[in-house]
Amino acid sequence: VSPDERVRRLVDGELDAAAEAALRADAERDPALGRALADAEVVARALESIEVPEPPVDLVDQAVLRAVRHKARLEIEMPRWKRWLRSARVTPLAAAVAAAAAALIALSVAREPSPTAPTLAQASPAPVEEARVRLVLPLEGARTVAVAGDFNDWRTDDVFLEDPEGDGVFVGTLRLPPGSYAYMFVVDGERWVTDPYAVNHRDDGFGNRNAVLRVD
Amino acid sequence: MDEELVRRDESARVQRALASLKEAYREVLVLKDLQGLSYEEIKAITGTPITALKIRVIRARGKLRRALEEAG
Repeated sequence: VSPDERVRRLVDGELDAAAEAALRADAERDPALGRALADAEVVARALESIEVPEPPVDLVDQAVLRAVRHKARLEIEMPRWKRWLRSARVTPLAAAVAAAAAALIALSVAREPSPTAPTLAQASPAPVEEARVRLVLPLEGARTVAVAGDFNDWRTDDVFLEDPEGDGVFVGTLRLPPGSYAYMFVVDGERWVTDPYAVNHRDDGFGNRNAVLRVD
Repeated sequence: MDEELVRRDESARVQRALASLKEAYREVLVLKDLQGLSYEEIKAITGTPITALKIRVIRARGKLRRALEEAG
């Protein structure tokens, strides 16, 4: 198994604790493996800075939208490499690489203006502890789909899903701290619709069922 | 420097590096590392065998690291 493949298995969460410990021990002795590990940390830290594009049509066009449809349900995601990064023991080499990367970032900031790319997630800046929750509502013929719930005082003009393909599949992402949130979709500003993919529900006291989102 | 400004600028820098990759590499990185899909799920979406996907992910991460260095 090549050093790159061993590191990939670590990043992708395919190693158990013993295998990870063995890899890290080997990395202390094997320069190639150590470099592969440090490189992986650089990439992981870089990727962590990205707001997941929503909708991400500018990056991979159809593939990601197909992914959204494929996973057309509520979900709380934390990619395995993020868990790995957060649990990773920072080696001296990795720390040096990270420091160098930070210096490069500072230079980059000094040279270039910051572009703005508004997304749903940026409506309220998210601390690291918040979870990303994807909402999907396939509803052909709808013009707008808002999300109203405990997290935005049930405002119907605050958070909107988007239909990037114009085919009636509305998608969006919320960033929420741990908790339990009731919510509903508001279609065309007037029709309240329960999320068809919600796992949990709560009666609203008026004869309807709110969807409930639980973020651990 | 405002922390949010720094974060956004770093995000833009990484997105530019990501955008410079060939689509096949960009695709697996976005699906695997940003969207958090499993290899099985990516196979279902792209039709690419899992072994090939794993090799592509390794190459894509390496290319992104080099693109970040060049964009630094």
